[in-house]
Amino acid sequence: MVLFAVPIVLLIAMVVSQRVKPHLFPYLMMLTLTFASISTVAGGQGLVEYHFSIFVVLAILSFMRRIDLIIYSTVIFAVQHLAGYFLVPEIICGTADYPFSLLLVHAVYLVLLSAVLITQIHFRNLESSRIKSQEDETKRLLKQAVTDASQLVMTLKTHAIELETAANQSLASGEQIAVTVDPIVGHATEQETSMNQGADEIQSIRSLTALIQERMGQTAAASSRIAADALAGNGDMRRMETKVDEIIQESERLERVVATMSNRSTEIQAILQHVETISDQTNMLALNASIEAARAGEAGRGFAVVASEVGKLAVQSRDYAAEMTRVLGGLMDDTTVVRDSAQLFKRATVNCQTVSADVTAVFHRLTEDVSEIDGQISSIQETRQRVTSQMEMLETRLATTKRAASELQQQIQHVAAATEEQVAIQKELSQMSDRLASTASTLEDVTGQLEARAN
Amino acid sequence: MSTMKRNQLMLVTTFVIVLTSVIVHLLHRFTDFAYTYTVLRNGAVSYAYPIATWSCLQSQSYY
Repeated sequence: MVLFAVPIVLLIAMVVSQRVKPHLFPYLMMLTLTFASISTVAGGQGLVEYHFSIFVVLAILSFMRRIDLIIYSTVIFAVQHLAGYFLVPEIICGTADYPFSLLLVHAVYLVLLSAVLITQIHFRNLESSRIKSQEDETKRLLKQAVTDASQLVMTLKTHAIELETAANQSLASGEQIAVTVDPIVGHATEQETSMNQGADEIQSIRSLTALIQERMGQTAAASSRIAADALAGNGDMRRMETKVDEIIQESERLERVVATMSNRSTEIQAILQHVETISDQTNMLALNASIEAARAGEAGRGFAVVASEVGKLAVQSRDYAAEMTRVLGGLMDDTTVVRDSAQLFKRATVNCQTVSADVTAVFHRLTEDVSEIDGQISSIQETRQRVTSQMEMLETRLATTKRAASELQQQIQHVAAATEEQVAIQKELSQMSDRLASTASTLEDVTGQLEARAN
Repeated sequence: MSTMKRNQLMLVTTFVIVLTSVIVHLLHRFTDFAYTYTVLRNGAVSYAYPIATWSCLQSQSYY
């Protein structure tokens, strides 16, 4: 009854000690198990088969990894066996005549088992101590690592915030640059378009200049021809003036000749009047002679014939003189006509001389004008050549400016593309900083948990 | 394993061992478990030292 109740009492004490005095729990457990085994052996009427419970008890106690509990339990079992063998062998060995040598076998295996368990526990405790020290070191290192990680996390969070701020500022700057670059690209494109238009206009101006050059060449050729014609006309006019002068002189001489002829005709007319008078007088003389001859009769007949012949000759002379007067009158009329014509011719020639002088002056002015036109054409051509050279220089500079503008546009486009890429990178950087901040927060939580576990 | 869990496990294990002890006691007191083997080995003798193991109630049944 005592051995039956002892383990139960000890088990109750175990339950109580677990709550009240935990440091007594292993000892009470050892006692409970040991006495439970003793109670089992005793309750089983000392049958050897129940002695296996001793090994079960030691195996269970070995779980506590305490050598003292093994030793205490072994000692209790040894005392129980020795004392029981000599005092109450029936409840230890099942019979009173159990050989002591066999009991010693019990003891030997008990001691061996205890020694094995003690050895295992010892080395296991050594290993546990080593592991514990390693664990403590690891724990310390972990704690240090957690502390460092916490500081790193704080630093990382600070840097993440700074990085996010910088990324946002950089993003804003990049966006401003992108916004600023877009009009520049547009202006560069417009500038390039204007350059192309300017080049086209310069080409048009060059074409027009070439056309002007061609026209100016034609004009110069025409002017040269006009100048030559004017010079030739001027020479002709000078020769014509000379001829006109000669004509005028001849006209004057003709006028003088006509006047002389008129005077001489007048003189001839006067002479013819004298001839007519002489003829009349001769006729009168012939008539008188006839009369006288008639009066003389036959003697005067010859004389009458001569008088008649002389009268006839006088009549004929008067007729001839009249005819000559008539012819001379016609000649004088003709001379008058000739004189008038000569005067008209002279006036016309004088007029012609005036006109010729005018024409000569016109040709002279025309020559001067043509010379002036040639000078102006030369000046225009020089000006056009300077304009052409300046246009070529302008075209060259425009081409250079166009290339520079094109390169500038390409560079601006590259800058725009780089800015967009930078903005994308900055957005990615901002997202990365957000993720970094999130990771830092997660890491902070993890380090917090790790620190809590480490502590 | 924490001390609390280990103590609880040990408590349960110890309870099982104590229970086996009680079962052994009950088997040998209220049943004829291993009775023939015991009689052949020790003879029809009464239970030894009943005070140490069980009450006199069981000893009467063997007498």
